[in-house]
Amino acid sequence: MRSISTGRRRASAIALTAAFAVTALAAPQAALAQEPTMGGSITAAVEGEPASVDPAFDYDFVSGLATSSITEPLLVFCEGDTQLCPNLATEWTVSEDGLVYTLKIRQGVRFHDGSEMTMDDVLFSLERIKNPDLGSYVGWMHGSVASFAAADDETLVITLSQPDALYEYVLATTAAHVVSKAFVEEHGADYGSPSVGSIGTGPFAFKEWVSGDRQVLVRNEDYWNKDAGGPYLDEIVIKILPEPTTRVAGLETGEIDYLVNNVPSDQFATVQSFENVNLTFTPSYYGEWITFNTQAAPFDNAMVRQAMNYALDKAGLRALYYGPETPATKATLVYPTMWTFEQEAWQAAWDELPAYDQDLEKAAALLAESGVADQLNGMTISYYESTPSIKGIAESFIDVMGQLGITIEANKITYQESVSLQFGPHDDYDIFVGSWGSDFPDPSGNLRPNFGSENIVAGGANASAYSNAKVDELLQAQNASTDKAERAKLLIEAQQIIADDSAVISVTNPSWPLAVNDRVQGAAIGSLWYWGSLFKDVWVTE
Amino acid sequence: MSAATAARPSLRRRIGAAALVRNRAALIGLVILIPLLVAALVPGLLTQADPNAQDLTNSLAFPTWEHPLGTDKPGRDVLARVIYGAGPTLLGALIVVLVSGVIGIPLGLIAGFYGGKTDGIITRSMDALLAFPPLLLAILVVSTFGKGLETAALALGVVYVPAMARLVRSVTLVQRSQAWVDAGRALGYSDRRIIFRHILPNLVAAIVVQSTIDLAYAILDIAALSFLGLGQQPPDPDWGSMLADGRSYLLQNAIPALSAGLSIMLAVIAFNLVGDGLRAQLDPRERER
Amino acid sequence: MAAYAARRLLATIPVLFFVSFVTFIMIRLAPGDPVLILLGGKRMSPEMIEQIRARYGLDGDPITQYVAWIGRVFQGDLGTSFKLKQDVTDLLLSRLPVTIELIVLSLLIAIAVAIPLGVYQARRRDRLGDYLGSLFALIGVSSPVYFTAILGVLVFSVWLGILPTFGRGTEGPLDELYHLILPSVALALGMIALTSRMTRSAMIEVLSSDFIEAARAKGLPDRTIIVKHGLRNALIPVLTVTSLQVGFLIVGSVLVETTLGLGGLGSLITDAIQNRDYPVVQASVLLLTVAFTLINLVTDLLYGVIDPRIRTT
Repeated sequence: MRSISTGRRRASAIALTAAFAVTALAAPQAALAQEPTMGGSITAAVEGEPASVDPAFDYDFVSGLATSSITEPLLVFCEGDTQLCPNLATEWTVSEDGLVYTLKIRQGVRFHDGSEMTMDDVLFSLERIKNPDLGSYVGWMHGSVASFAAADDETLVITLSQPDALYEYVLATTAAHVVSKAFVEEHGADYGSPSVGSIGTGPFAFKEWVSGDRQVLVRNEDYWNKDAGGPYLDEIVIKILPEPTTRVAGLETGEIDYLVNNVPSDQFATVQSFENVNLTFTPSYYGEWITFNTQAAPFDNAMVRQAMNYALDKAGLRALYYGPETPATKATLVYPTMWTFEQEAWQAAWDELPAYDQDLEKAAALLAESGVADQLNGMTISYYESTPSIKGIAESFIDVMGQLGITIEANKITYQESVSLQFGPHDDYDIFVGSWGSDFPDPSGNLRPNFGSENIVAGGANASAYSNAKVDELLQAQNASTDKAERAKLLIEAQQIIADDSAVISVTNPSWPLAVNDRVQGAAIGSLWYWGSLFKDVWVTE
Repeated sequence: MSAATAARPSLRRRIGAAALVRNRAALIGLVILIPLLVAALVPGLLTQADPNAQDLTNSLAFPTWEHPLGTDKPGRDVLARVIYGAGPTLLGALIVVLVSGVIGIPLGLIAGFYGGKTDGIITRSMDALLAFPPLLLAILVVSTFGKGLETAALALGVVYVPAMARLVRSVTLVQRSQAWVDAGRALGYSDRRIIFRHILPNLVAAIVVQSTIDLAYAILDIAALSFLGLGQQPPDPDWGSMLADGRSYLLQNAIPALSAGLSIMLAVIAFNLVGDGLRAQLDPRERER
Repeated sequence: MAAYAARRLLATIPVLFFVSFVTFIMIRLAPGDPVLILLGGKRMSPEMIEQIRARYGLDGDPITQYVAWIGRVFQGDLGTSFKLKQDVTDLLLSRLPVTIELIVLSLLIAIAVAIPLGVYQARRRDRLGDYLGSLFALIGVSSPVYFTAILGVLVFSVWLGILPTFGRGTEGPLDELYHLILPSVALALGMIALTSRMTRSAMIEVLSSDFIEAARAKGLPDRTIIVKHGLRNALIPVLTVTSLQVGFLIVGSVLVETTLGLGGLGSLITDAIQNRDYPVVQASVLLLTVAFTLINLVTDLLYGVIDPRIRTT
């Protein structure tokens, strides 16, 4: 952990004092303008055991810290994760009809074992993910792809079978990470497991993974992208700590330097009170909501759905679990953070959207008017306690419905059951508290998966079993379009229908917390941090 | 004065004095138990507050007149939740002991009385059951058959069966080997009569003591299952889940968690004390206390 | 002796089959489809789902699956974890050391405290020391293990800062030991009550027996009497009680290590059950059962060694 300036310290004491005197008045400013220093190590913590360091299985919030530092995608998200920038592909174009993507592959990039990255590796990586035999969690992202081909050693051509407005973004996810063909073939089924690890072209190399305890990465000295100066850190230790209180305690004692996303939301105030810790928030495309089986009575009655929306004190819940600064929500899953194009149009639409602020009288009136309120009695609300807020939302829902004279039963389910519920056949539950975050910086990412009727069947994410022909039409049209203005118009129209139908109760849109120790510099995350390399520009001050 | 010379002459006195102290300890246990039982049976008597009423604006408040133990995260009254939580916890423990008794006592009786192959089969089954690390079996059962206090208590009850069966079996064995049993059979008394009229009454003492101690451990285990999210379902309170909930907020307000944890401890201590006292009284052979 | 041991070992085999079969059936009866969790729950066609089901041996009826699993176990193949994409044997081996260290350390602490405590209580019978000892033990056994652990973190790590908060410790065995102090003390506290009480009553009984009188009459010093003669005889019930507590230790270690983030067997199992990760659940339960029965067997054999009267069955 050497500072670059140690050698110079002795040299010019007088010069330093003079300089100090001169800058004494401007001291605070000068102190901030530090140079990144090489070396040092940080300790991050994740809340569960990573599935793998094979990018094919990185589709959660814990695997990416290591995986996305080791291997890299063709493109990356930039500008706060709202745009696409070159990475292993230096430039790319999309054909007029939206069916052909042409990318130029960067040359002279090496894997951690020194071997050169070639077109073979690129094609191998993409084909492998797309191949259903692998069972990759992100294989579906290449669903519209007809073929991957090489026009020449430097040019990759991807041909789609139909236009897909979101496919560009896929190239910045783990579905487009380039892995070493030789390495993967050598290790077969063990690739990505703790004993074998992975090699890639990324800023950090895999050193070790002790299952249940930690992963360790070390700096890649020959990283191809040193334009920004990084990577600086010698070593990154990622500890596996399922207990939220222990993570927070670790921040306080300094044993943990870096937490992203897994700062328990109900301890934000506590973390902010730590003197040695800096807590910042980044807007997210993620939110928690309550939905119901819209194809079963009485949830097929719009008045009942609206009544439930009016009953819940969403603002109170947001403030309680995420603090008063957290973004407000309205009756849509397209949060303001997701207006990555045509902002004015979206803003105008947002102003028109209903907020369904808590109004118990209105709720009671709607229930009475619907005539089917008594059918609500005894219904169950299912939820998995992934966050304290989800638990709080469920319990609060039971409480307010109780105030309206309706008994709702709690049904606490396991993670596995919640996955089955959210992605299964969608016909075997009453009320469900769930969450969803778009994979892409695009408003359709929170509409189509959740409300398109093609996603009602098992494997899709339409948890409300919502089926509206007009909405389907709009969603499909926008996906086939490449004109942003037109897409915005179609999406806004779809959003309005869904809001009027109150198909879902949108409760929270929590921003991503990032807690770092004061010694950690250069740490910043975007809204899609889980796809990105987090540690390239991070350095430490002691 | 060496221990030996001191022990001999005053052994009698020691037993007498010790028994009294044991009784005093048992008395303390009972004294603790009474409010717990009242809370379990008629919680409304001890508090007016609604344990489930939320107030999102009064989260994790420290004690006030209105909320003597403060509030938890969604603003519910902690004291009320502790009081209402007694019922499910104690009821769960009771079910555990009842189940283990209903299944374990007959098994132990049969094994001890009839011996031979029957005994062999029963003992082997008990051993098989014992091979399961206890809580693990309960976790598996609950995961399979659904969460909820009843399932958890039933599962745990099954886990406690071998201990009860073994105890009953060994006492029965001793009783069985007494001469009068064979005499009775020779006289033509039915087995059932011998078992129910003669052996069982001698078992009562041992069973009562074992059950009381089991109650103590059952409280801990039920709370553990709730702690893991497998017991009482929300939003109704019980001590284990209150501890789990309060755990996340320890650094902000430890009172909800501490209240729940201390309640568990008090109940367990109380049953332990009463059990010890009973053992001293009912089982005169147990001189070593 | 050897014959006895062999017979006992043989008797455990049907038990293992029974336990693993029951586990097998029960976890499959549990609601929820592990295939969906395997896929991370994202867009899969029904055909793909069937394909994956076949690949992981989840098609066919439970009996066939069980037989197939047994076959693989005998070949040393415990399967691959559904969720974690790792070989189950590797997973178990990597998590085992922590749990073993925790249990052994707790056992040592408990014995190191309970036996002297029991002896002390036996000598100070019915006096203040005796009652205080009992009180301490009672509190220890009545506090839920995870509660003690949390209190420990609060007091010793956060407020006093003298113990680490969590995890295993990465700088060598001494650091690991340092990290195990809090969890093993928390676990040991639960054991002390029974063990010390057993020691106490056994010691009392032994101390008032004839041959001890004789030793005293011979003029042997108290300490020799207590340790050499008294304790050795008191060991049998202590051994009984200790082996009974192994179940408690295994269970308690699950609770403690999840609370303190130790990454051992316990958290692996609870996660696996929640996630319907069948291979891991199967293998872990099998492992624990084997351990359990072996420990019981060893204890029984130790009886034979300590007390020659018990050698025959």
